[in-house]
Amino acid sequence: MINALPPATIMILGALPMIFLKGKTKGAWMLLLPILSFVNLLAIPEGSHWTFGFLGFEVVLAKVDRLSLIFGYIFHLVAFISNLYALHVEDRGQNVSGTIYAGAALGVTFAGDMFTLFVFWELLTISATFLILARRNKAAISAGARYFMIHVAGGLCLLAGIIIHVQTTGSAAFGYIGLDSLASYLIFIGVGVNCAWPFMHSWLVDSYPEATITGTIYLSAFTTKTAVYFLARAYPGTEALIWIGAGMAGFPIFYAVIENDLRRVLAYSLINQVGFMVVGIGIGTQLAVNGAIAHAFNDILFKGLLFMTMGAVMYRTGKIRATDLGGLYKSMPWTCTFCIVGAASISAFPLFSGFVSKSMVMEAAANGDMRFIWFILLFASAGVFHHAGIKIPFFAFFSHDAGIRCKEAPRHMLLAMGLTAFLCIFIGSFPQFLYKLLPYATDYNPYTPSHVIAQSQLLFFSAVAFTLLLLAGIYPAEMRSTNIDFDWTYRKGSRWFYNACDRLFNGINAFGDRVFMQELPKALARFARDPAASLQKHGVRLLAEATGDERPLAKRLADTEHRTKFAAYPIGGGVLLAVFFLGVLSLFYILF
Amino acid sequence: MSSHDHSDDGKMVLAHDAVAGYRPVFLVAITIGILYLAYIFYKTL
Repeated sequence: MINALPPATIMILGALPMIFLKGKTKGAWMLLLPILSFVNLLAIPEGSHWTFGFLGFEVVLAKVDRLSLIFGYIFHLVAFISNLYALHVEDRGQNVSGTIYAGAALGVTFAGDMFTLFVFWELLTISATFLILARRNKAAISAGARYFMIHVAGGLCLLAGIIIHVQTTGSAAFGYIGLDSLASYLIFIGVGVNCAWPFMHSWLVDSYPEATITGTIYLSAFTTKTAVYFLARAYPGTEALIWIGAGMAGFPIFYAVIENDLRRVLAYSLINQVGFMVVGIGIGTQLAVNGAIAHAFNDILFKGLLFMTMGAVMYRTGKIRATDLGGLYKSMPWTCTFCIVGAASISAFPLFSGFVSKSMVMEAAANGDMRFIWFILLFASAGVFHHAGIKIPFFAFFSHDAGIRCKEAPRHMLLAMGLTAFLCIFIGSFPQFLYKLLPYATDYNPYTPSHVIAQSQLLFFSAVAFTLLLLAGIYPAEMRSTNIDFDWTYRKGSRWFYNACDRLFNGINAFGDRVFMQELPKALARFARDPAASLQKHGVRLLAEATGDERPLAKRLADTEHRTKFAAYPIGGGVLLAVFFLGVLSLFYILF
Repeated sequence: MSSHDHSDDGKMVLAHDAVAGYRPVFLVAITIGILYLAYIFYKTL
């Protein structure tokens, strides 16, 4: 017997009392929940638990193995850090949805069957939408609505795939799927939406920067990483993922360089980093999958740290554009320091966390003789150093002094950032603690001379390039502008589609209204006033046209109408009708 | 196409003015870099 609850239970049910709590009590509860949930997780042994039958299928609320455990650990850790960072928030909607969101991510991570997984997958979407909407301005509401629609579409794709998969295989168990059937492709695409693959990525850069300051911290940690977890379990070694991941690692760099909103720069950077993970899963070797998972673990921390520092800047100054910021190191020295730690980690400086995981994926690509992929990853490494490693701290804290003098970030925010920064350095300096948690046992050593020298060269020359570009006046100016991304196609396209549908269906509706609701009833009403006269008059008209009878038609019609009032029908007409009906009856008799 | 806050406060453009003498340095550095990479590429063929 297990003396524990299913892993997601404490976070999800424990979030509900937050509706009634406030002040320090609520703060204490927010911090206590992830700790309680983590202790509960530690009490669950490896294997499948809480299984029961439902509609003929086996529902498994928790399947605990090394892959799910490492995601479980980091999700608890980041939930604690995010809640610590959000202690000042007295918006119950945000508090509750943030914690439920973390719980839903745990639900996905430990789901042993596809139906359980789908339920938590959708809970993830709903709670994330509330985190975006919580900012309560026009941009956030629009972005939240778009986020919801895109993820519901992705969720339906996933559900369709799951249903076909379960029907085909007869099993709802969540495990390796591979890419070999319609169901597997549908599931693959459904997950791809959450993973922000190229052409499906726009929701991320659209919505994350529009969410609340604290909401973005939660958002950066869970949705894409649960998708990475899904891919690692269901599609390791799928070659398509190598190319998809390479695309993800490469293209956001160009957008991040020209973007002015620093939280949006980080959103592009997030896609770039997830690209490394997707490549690792696509390569599928033990080293590559370990690298992908380790990088997911580290990315949650350093990307969260960068979002937290930018959130603190936004909290104190109300600004987040590079054009409006600069010189903040004087007012916010601690935040600046933590930002530099996050920047060094994401840039994979030796002794910082990104170095010990990114190099695993790069090494796996090199071992597989994937030179082109390796080159793209190298380019992406230089790019991420430029936009996240340099651009973020440089334009927020140094660069041109914008003259803003503000207070340092609140203490709880500094604590959250400090704890995360410590973990980034600790993991970078002692990677074996992280490696012990990975799905496959490894003796990988990132601190070989070739690794360290190669990465140091890359970083050094990237820094030189940035400095020279800036001093030579070639570096592009920061501008407040709208950068066209792929969502342009569906935002404009959906408007055109709406207009086309509006014209087509409302045109059919108007036609139907005119014909069937106006003209036809009028004609029927006219006919029904005196059906016999109407029929005869119609016959007279047809006869006159057919025979070319030139006698005045109006008089003949008036005569016909007059006769029918007294039921004085022409004998020939009655005989004709009788013959017609007899003919029909005879035909029926002969045929049947 | 990212949606932006179109409020009017703040700068529209933050240009990075060139510091005298650095453009030739940049051009020399980039030329050496390209030649070096081309040489490495040639050697690996």
